[in-house]
Amino acid sequence: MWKLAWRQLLRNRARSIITGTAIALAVLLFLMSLALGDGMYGKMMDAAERSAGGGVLIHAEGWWKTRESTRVLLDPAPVAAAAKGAPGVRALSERVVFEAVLTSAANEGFAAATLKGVDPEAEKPFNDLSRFLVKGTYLAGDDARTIVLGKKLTEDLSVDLGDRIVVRFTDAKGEESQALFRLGGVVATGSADIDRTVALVRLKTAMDVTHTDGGVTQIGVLGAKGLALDQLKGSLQRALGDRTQGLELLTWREAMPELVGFIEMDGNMNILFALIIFVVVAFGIANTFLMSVMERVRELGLLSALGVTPRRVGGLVLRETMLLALFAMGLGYALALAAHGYLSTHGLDYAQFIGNDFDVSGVIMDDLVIYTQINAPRWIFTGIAVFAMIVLSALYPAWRATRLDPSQAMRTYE
Amino acid sequence: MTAVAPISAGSNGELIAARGVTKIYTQGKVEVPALRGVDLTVTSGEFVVLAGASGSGKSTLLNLVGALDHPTEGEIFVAGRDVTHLSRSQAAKFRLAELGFVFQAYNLVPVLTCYENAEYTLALAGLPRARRRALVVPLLERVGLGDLLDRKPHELSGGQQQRIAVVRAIASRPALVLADEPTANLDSETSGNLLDLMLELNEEKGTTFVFASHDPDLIARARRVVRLKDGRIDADETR
Ligand SMILES: Nc1ncnc2c1ncn2[C@@H]1O[C@H](COP(=O)(O)OP(=O)(O)O)[C@@H](O)[C@H]1O
Ligand SMILES: [Mg+2]
Repeated sequence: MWKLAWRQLLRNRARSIITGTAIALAVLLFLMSLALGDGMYGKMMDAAERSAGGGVLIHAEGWWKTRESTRVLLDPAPVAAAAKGAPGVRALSERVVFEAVLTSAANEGFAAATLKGVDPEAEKPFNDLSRFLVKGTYLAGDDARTIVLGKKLTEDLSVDLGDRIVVRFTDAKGEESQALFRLGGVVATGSADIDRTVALVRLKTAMDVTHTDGGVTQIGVLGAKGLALDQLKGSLQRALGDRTQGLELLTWREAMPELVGFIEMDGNMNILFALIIFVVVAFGIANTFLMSVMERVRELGLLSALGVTPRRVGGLVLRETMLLALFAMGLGYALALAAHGYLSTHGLDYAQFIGNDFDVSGVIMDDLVIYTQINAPRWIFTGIAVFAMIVLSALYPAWRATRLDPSQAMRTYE
Repeated sequence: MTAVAPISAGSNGELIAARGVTKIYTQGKVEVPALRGVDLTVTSGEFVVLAGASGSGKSTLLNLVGALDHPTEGEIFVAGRDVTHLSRSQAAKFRLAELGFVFQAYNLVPVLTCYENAEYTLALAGLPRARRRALVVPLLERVGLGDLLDRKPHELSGGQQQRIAVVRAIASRPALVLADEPTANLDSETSGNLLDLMLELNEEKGTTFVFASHDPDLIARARRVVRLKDGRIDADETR
């Protein structure tokens, strides 16, 4: 029966090739959209993690929700030291974060911003904004009161390098307070969100002006590559022990669930799109095999007359489909692997398709070059699902084949 | 396997026992009576020709005896088995076990070779390869096709194709071979040879043949001729 099915496919070579190619291409498209989706997902998650300020964020209890200026992590040194020693920790950075209102000393107008005190060296593995410096210097030089602003912010305030900026905020004691800075640098990240709100000063200066008494707002921790966030968090909790008293440890996914949801939804759209391709292909297959059954009414009727049971006649049609599916899918997988071989090293630049104005709520993507990633279980599951779908689409033609009436099939009309 | 069992017959030597067989086709609202109360008995080892004009009901009768279709009325026993109430699947198994078929045309599976077509029913019945070869090759040689085993049907002449069909029909030593105008598409010499072959096999191996034809030359050479006319048996003569 396999022999018969195989020869049947060879007999209708043109049709088999067309159908097989359609299956192979659909498989290729599907797998590539998975691989690109996974690559994109990984890249966005990575970018999101860095933009969030680390895989795990340590604050004083309640700061993340309330953003109250008085919730300060006092005496960060022992916490940072313990965290640094935790297994799986790659990098760590202390920050001071205050919501602030900025005005220019010379001009009218004001703008809301987030004042961040950072250590530029420690920030490097995180979201190193010095990459986006378009003017001036990045918290360098002798001036302790140097400030780096987002480009939009400088436009809103009509300020330029050297201009004085007044920063108003509620300090760590809960008192209204203000400090004077001098614009030392301008960054343009490409993310409108960030360019409109970022105001960076040196960590030490920030601690002084906000009266934290040596405290910080946040310690961001990056885990080793590939380490799951929950594992990193667990490791930190163990390393910190009793010191977690009065602190909150949040993975960035816990901190920003909407962003995670957004990125995941994007991936699901990809799969949905690929699924639609497949339904279309499945209809094509059903149609092809139905045609092939109808063309062979006599032949299948002959088999029935010779004693092949209806089940086996239907089985023959299914076998033809399965053989074709296996070969075509094999080809599809081979092509997908070849494409992956190329795209996993050379990448595919999405910017060509969607332009550069790609902005997901404050996540900075340096570029949109996506490197494909293979998620083996998903590829295997896809294979099984596609195979099942093809076989399903052949069920109707096969069923029709079982219903052929041998007495009619064999009649010769003079 | 039943396929190679000795010829089985009904309890009283009757291989075919058809009583009051009526077949009415309905085409839309029109009823076409193809058979109107046919009684026919064939004993094991006979060679019977169903004669009659085109449209007289020969094919219909063969199809009913061959369990390819159900009669509207009446009962048919073949090899002791009631074939009028078989399911499709039971009917297929019955055909494989007990019957051989030769049709007017389209007898062969196009994608199989001459040899594969000839051994097809044996393979279906599950006979081992060596056993199939031992049964089929001598028969193919016997009908002069020993050199063409690997040809595809489309590379053969009409007469050669029909001979392969005959070999396939008898290879499994069925109780009964049903042949529906097997010579209609052949020239008279070729059809004469094919008839010779079937007559020889009938005599040598005792295979029962029921053979439909409206070719006077062939009818003249048969020992028993059953004439159909408008779905009824008009004459039944044994010479
Ligand atoms: N499927 C069918 N539907 C309607 N009428 C049919 C069908 N098959 C055969 N007939 C009619 O039944 C009669 C007998 O046909 P058939 O058995 O083929 O005759 P024969 O084989 O002797 O030429 C004819 O009138 C034919 O038109
Ligand atoms: Mg006929």
